[in-house]
Amino acid sequence: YAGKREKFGEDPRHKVAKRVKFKTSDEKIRWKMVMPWSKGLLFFDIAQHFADSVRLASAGRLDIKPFSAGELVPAMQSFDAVSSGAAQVGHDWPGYWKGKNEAFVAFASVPFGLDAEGYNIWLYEKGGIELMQEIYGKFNLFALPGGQCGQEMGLFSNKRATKMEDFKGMRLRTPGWFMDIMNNLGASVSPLPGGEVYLALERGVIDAAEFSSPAINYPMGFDEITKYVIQPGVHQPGIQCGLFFNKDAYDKLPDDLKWIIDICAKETQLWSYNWINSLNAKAIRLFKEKVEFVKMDEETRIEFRKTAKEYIDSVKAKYPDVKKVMDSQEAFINDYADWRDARGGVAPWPYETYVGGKTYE
Amino acid sequence: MLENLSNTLERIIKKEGDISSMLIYPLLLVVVYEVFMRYAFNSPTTWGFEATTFIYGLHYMFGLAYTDVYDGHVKVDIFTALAPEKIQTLLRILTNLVLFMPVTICMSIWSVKFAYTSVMGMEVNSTSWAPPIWPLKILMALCFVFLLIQGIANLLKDINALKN
Amino acid sequence: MSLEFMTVAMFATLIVAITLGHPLAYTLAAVAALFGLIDNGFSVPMLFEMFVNNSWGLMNNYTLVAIPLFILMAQLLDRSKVSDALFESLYVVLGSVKGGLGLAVVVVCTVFAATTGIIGASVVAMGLLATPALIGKGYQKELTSGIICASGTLGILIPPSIMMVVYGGLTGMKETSVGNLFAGAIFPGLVLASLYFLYIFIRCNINPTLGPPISKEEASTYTAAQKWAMTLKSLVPPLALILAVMGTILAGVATPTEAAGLGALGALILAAFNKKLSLEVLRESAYATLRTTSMVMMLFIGGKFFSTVFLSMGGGDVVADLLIGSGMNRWLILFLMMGIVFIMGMFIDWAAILLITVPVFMPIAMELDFNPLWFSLLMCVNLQTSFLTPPFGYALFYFKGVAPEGYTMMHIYKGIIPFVLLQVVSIALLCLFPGLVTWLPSIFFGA
Ligand code: NA
Ligand code: NA
Repeated sequence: YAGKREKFGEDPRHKVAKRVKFKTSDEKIRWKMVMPWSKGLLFFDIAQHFADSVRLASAGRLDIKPFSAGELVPAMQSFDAVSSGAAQVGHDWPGYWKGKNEAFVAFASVPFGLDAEGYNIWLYEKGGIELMQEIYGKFNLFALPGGQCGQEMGLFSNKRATKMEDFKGMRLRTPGWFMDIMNNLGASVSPLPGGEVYLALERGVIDAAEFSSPAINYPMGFDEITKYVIQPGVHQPGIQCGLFFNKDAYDKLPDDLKWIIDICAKETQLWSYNWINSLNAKAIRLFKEKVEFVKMDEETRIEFRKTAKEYIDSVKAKYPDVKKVMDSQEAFINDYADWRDARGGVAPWPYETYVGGKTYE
Repeated sequence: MLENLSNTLERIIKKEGDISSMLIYPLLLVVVYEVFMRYAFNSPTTWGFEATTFIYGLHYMFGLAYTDVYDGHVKVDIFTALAPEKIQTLLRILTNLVLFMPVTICMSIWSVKFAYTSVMGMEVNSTSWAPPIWPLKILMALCFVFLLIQGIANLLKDINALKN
Repeated sequence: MSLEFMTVAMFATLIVAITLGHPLAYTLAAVAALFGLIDNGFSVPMLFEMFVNNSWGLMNNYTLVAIPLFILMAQLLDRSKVSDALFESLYVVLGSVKGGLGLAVVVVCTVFAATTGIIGASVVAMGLLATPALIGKGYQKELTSGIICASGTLGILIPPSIMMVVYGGLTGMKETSVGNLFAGAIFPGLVLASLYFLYIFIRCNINPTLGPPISKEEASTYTAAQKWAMTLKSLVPPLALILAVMGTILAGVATPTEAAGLGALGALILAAFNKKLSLEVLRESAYATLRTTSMVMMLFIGGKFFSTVFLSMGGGDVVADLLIGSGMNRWLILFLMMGIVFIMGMFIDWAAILLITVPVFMPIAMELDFNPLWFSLLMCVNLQTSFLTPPFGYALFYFKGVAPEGYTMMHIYKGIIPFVLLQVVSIALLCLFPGLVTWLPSIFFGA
């Protein structure tokens, strides 16, 4: 005799939506949005997409004007500017604010960490947003996920590297946690500023550099000055962007605009993933005409994974906030593993590829 | 009295500038060291780029007031130079009060606030080296205060000149 | 108030305020504050949070680190007197030609332009060194001042140059990286130097009283072989420095910032070789370096505030809509933009002009499909002119500061006009032959 079973879940928002009584207002609100992106980066378009969505959904009542890096404040001052109220909203890759709180990195991308699917489920369903808002909240900010761009490319390199020893002594550019991980692996890493990367790579100041996903990398022309791309991009399995709002400005909004922001942020998260990845497919084909793609072998990836784990554990030990967020992500990864395994083996490869034996993801 | 005070303030600024002007040599040293380490030993530093920008930033910030003492900030005085001395002095007082003071006073206040927020969070740089940056923000605020002091010294000097 | 009105009012206020003779940087900041407050509904905290963030951002700009280093390099070079030897040998080599001393000045300035990133130093050094010689040989006052001011200003165009560093730092684009700008500026700089050279040569051949040759006796103190040996020997130090700076950038040994460091180190070593290096020299160089650096950076702060408020108001869109929306021919729009920069250059300092115009004009140029590097170099040649155009031209003032008795500002103003026209010719040449800008970067950087 099987026990009676309830419906296996419910949408908690429904209760709120059912009871809501809006007072509509004609008040027109103008906000300024800052970001670390120049107009040439697709990230700028994602920020702009959110602003457009809000304007469309609110019939222009909330008019958010995006300013690219340096127009209102320098790229890396976007956080402080919104926190202090010089602008009302910001778009970011949260890892840039590592110096404010190490845990911001976990909301941006973790080496061997969450991928796009993982971030979506963890953020929206497994308490990720609450943790995100807790950390941003310490700086007078309200935050929402604001764009998911999927996996990054690996290293553009003039040295072919597929095995662990190939990476030893390699001069490369990568920022953040991965920089420390690569240093621990025996590479010599410079945190070169973004604008210097091309010249440094081209002139041989460094051997290799990573920047972002294929479609974002394409205009940078790294393929013209390097011979190889070392795949996969283990350092960023999923680029997660954020939207953050000055709390005082956000609190003053009427309820309907708050809902519009919430829904438009989700719409941006959805759109950005589809848009960038459809572009990535094309960019990768173009890259393949110019550079050779090589893959790290499995043994090397496992070695990288071990070093990454050791490093992240050491960061967790040092920063309680990192521990809290990473424990939550790791718990989700474990929790999800059964389903990930159970469903494996039906990746949508072209027919010939699949029947030819490529039956894994 | 006014002249004494103004001279004392300027002496402080000159001293401050003379000392901090020497920062150019550590800056040079770090830049050259970074190139040398990369080529001679294939081991670039993790701190070179940041150390370089920190020294550069402090160097010119400390020089803002110092340059003013030597009247080194470029100005378009081809028109005012035609006016009599007394009118020029009056104009200097007026522009000081209207153009310089409000902005510099506010910059001093808000850069102190900016530093205060950073100190409260014991802010470090968002890099692998992750050095503390709150001391730098304190120094930035201090430099704007120096500039304000120099502006006050200029004002006192001009008022004094007008009296005589 | 309409946006169009605010945009015009902001510039009008700036122009009026500048004439009051208060330092330009403070004036820019004050006008920015006034219009920032009008724009944001008079929120003082909001405005100054933005300004403070901008000031902090400037302190973290790695590209701009090259500025104090290039200035230090110029200071040390100036004190080690390396340009004297070259001028002295060229004096006898070229002196016997009509207008020859003027030509010698152009050559010396061109060579040293490739070692130093700032002007001022060259104008003052050549003013002190060459003016007495030229005047003594009967050169016309106007021509003399024109030659020295114009040639001495080549240093801001021929790389290395802090103007390019500032430009690259402003755009943050691959196409207009400091390395690309440096490579792109080499030919335009040489074209300009050649135009000066030709102009002086032709003009003095038509009318030798403007620039008579030196006497036969004086010219024959050395044999031809001796003259050439002297010249070659005196070329060694500057060539070594050019190699240290441009060589390391183009060969990929160093980033432009690092190359500035290597250049300063080279100048230090050179000063030591010439036995001019002492604690006193190091101290004085450091003092002067700080004063010049902070002057530029204060302009950067004020100019940044101004452009920030201007863009925040939407002024950039107003100008873009006005120009692009007008449906005018793209070359006419380019001509207008260059005209605006030229006229601003008559009154305002180059750094302030760059900070105000680049964020507005660069997107317009891109939208009109102009090559960004080529457009940037047009801007830079145009801005080099700002050092020379009356009434407010740095080079003219520097020269006045060291000119001998009997020189009035009028002599200098009159003397510079032909050279300003040559600048316009060079801009036209760059428009007709864009390869002058784009060819070299494509060789070195594949851009
Ligand atoms: Na130069
Ligand atoms: Na001018």
